[in-house]
Amino acid sequence: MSKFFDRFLKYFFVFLSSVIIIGFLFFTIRNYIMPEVTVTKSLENSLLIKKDYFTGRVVSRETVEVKADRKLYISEINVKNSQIVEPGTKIISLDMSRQELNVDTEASEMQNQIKSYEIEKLNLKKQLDSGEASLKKSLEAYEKAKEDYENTSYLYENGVVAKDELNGKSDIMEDCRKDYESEVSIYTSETEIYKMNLNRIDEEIEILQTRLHEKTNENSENKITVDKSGAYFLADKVYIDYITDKKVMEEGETVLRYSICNTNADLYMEAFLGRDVYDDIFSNKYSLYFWKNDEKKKESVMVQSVRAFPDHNELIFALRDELKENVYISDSVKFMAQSEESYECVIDKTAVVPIGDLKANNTCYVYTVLTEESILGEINYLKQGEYKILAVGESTVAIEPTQNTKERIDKNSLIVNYASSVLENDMRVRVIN
Amino acid sequence: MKKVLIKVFSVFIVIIFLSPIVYTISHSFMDEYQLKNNEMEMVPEIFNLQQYYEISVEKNEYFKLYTNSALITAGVMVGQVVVSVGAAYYLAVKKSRFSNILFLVYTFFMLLPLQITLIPNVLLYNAVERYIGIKLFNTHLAVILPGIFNTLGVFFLKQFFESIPQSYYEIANIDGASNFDILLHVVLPYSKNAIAALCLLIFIENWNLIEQPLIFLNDMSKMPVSIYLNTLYESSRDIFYAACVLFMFPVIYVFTKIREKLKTMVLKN
Repeated sequence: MSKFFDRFLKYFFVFLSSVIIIGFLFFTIRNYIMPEVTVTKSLENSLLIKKDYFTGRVVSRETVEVKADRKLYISEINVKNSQIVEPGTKIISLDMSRQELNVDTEASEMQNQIKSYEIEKLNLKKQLDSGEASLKKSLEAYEKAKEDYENTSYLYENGVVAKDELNGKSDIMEDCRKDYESEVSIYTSETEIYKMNLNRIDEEIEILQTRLHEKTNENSENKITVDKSGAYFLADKVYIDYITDKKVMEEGETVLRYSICNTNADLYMEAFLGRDVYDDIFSNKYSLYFWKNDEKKKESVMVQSVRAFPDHNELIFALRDELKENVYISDSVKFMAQSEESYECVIDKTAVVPIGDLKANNTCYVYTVLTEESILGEINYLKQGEYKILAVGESTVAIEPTQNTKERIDKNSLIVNYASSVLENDMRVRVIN
Repeated sequence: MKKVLIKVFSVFIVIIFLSPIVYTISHSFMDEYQLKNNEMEMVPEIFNLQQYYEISVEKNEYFKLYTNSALITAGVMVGQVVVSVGAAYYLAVKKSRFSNILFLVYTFFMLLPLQITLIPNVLLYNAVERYIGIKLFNTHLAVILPGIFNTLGVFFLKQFFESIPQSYYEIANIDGASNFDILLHVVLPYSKNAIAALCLLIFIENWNLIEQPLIFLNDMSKMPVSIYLNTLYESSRDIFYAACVLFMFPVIYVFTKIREKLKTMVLKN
């Protein structure tokens, strides 16, 4: 009996020892494999920042398309597509040997006439100068003869010189006076004629220049106006949108299309934005920034006008003075629209477990860490709460508790940010920094 | 007739003493349903190990407190044996004129009820923390230190050391052995059974601590199992009986292992 009892006791002790060993083993493993979480708190300022990035382009306010008004034989193309051309740069050259009636003779004649008038004007000025110099010379001779006569007259009164010498000096002075008076008469009459001629020439030049300018402007829109050598120039700084690569252009074909970009006043920025994104951001207080060549420009930009389309909006941004050095025509620019909105509870996006898509009016789970004193000391466990997503920002989400959730998130609530495993309600976790 | 009556009485006494243990063990093999509805039954309707599975795999927080019990008990046992051996050797072998007075003081303190010393100990811990900066209150040391200086061990071993023949000490002295050598090579080998019996007593006493942890510890996580069992009965009765069996297992196991030595010791004394 005693032996049986001892054996029973032995087996029972072995069993209890096994239970204790297994218990310790599982206890250690359970503590070791406890999920680790990092925690965050709701935002102090409760501001939800929405950001959206979209692209745009710098374009010209005026684009000109030049078409061949006749058959053109192009010998040389001096520019290429997407090139910014300074004023006076040769665009194309026509083959004048094959080109018929392709020189605008009227314009050339007018230019030649202007040049001849200019030459005539110069000649008249030279003649006027010459008459003035001659007048000045006769005046000097007369004044010198007069001075000689006066000196000789003094000497005669004192009996130093004879009367014949005095009479000779008097004759010389009289001759010089007559010459001077004659010069003055000629100069006066010539000056009047010159002035009349000069006025006439100036008027003629002005008329010709006006006509030439009108003709140039008229032609520049849709005609190729070349000089005698066949070169075609533009008076503006332009951006070449399109240039033909053909050597022979038929009448009506587009030779060139360019955008005028003399100053930044000729430019603006345009961008396209989806309607929903536009409504989401631009309905609140917002600020706009833009990038160029991946470099963020600190200046904010203002929307000049918005054109609404069924699915998107076209935004026009005026180029302000301080931006002038930063953008050029055809530059690709990136915009960032940022808006701020205040909510009661705003938390990190990483702390949200969305049910479905992460978007407004959907629900999500948020896990808060609660601390409890237990036989294991201070233990952390999770409390799952169901919340409604009010708005989604760039890195934050605004939420409010649903009717199923009693727990409210306050400023001191510890919210699970990242976890090493799938989270469950009432799960014990280890909070790591 | 008289012999029969004595046997019947003995059996009755044994039944009285064993019935709580048997009750606990048998209930540890009951399922949750029976525990909830027919707790007073002695025999499990369906024998199962559900409680042991639950406590070892699912609700194994219990073993955190099991560790606390082991830590406190081991600390007190080692400390008290070391202190008791040294003090008992001084009082029993290296007698001086103060030995008897000291022993009297020891005996006096042994007679004092434990509860009287609890509050002064708390005040002492607070003073130590305030003036020396060592935190003792609400630590395991607060329970272990008073246990180490318990007078029972000194009283117990002094009696035993005095029973060792004086000639042993004299021979060792003649051989030039120091006090430490005598203690280590003469007294301790001779007192193995006594020390084992003392260990058993210390173990049983400290494994079942109630008052000291309640007074000296605040955090539930630092309490021994003896305190937690009451809570467990209220919160998780489905594992309570298994927890009780596991709790009494070390005591019964140690007792069965050294019961022969204890019997010898008792007979010697």
